[in-house]
Amino acid sequence: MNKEEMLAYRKKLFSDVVNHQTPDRVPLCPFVETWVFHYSGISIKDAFLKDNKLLFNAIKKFADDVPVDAVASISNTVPFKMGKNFGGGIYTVNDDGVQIIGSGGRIMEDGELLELAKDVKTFFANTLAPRKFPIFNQSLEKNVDLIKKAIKDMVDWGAYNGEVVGRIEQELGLPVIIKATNYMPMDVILDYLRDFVGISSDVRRVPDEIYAASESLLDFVMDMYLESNLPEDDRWLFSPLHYPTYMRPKDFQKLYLPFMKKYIEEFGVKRGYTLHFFMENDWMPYLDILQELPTGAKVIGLFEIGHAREIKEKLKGRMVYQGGLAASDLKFREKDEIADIVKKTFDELAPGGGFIYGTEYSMMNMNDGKPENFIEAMTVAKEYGKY
Amino acid sequence: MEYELMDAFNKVQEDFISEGMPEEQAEALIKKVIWNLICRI
Repeated sequence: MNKEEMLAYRKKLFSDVVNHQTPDRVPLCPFVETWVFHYSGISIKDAFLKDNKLLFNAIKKFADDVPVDAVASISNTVPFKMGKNFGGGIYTVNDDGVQIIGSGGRIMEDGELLELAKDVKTFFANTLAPRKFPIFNQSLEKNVDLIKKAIKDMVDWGAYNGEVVGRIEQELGLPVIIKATNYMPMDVILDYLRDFVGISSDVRRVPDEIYAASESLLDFVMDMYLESNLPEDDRWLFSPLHYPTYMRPKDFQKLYLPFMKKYIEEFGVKRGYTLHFFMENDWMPYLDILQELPTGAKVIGLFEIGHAREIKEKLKGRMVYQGGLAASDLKFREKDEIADIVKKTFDELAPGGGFIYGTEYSMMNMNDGKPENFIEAMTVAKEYGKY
Repeated sequence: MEYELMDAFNKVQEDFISEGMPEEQAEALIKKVIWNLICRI
């Protein structure tokens, strides 16, 4: 197969699996994130900020050595240059990877959830932006210029990444499946607005206000994505689910699930988007509640821990199971043990389809997995995973 | 600040439209930059 045919073949593997059909073989899609830059010896900072050829070269080195069917994401998910206009944001990048700095995750005060619920855009612009970025305390004319510069940097960042995605697909024949990252409303509140202590207190004290704010946030996000008219190939939204497993199941059911359900119905069922959830931590206590999710939509759940077979069976028709390659095996096993581990995993999870093989976690540093084990796992999986 | 910051965003949106950008596109761009300010950077 040439690169074009290879790209089409690999895309079909994913298209079949998310459409609940049995693909030619189990698709291979590990989450390698910044591990690829350490593996290829390329500076993360330079690849993200200076030269997108470095970003491409890092992924090419990985793809040349490790047989995979997709790059989950090119990992350059924060527009740092845009942030510099405002004195920097809550993230920084160095050659270890992307780090969170300070306590920028709590910019909303107690008692402001209903203000947020009333009008997300206005509350963000008039209240939170000047609070988060004191540089806005200047004349209107200067802020107009500042915003225009930030928009240019945001658009340039999109083009910088877009060029890399295009090259990976055309020159390597590998689909880059995640084109956009999005967050469920309560994870927005957790990560960017109230922090862990704040949201946990809100859940106990003012659950109705959390619900109202979540409704408005979801509407805002839906409008934003739908207005952007993503091409059909790009309708693959990734969402890491951060907060649910810190909630009591009954709180999850009341405050989080309704929006996850609406998100799947609006994007997945009605509009055919593929929705890719990173199900962080242990979801075993929530599996029964997840039965309320709609069936038949294109939804993938990447599960970090839990009983893989039970999760896959219980969520059949609702979520394709992604995972199977444990951190402990990649880190601590010897290479000659890997083939048996892979085959056992496939015997358990591959029958009937609905399975994407990959790491159960995001690989960020070299310590997250020995290359020889990784290459062995994917090589065995590619052959053994044929249906 | 003696004005609402939304006034600055609205001014940018108006400028984009007067420079020929379709209204919907300008509105979406402003929404996206506001979102990225709070929920990305």
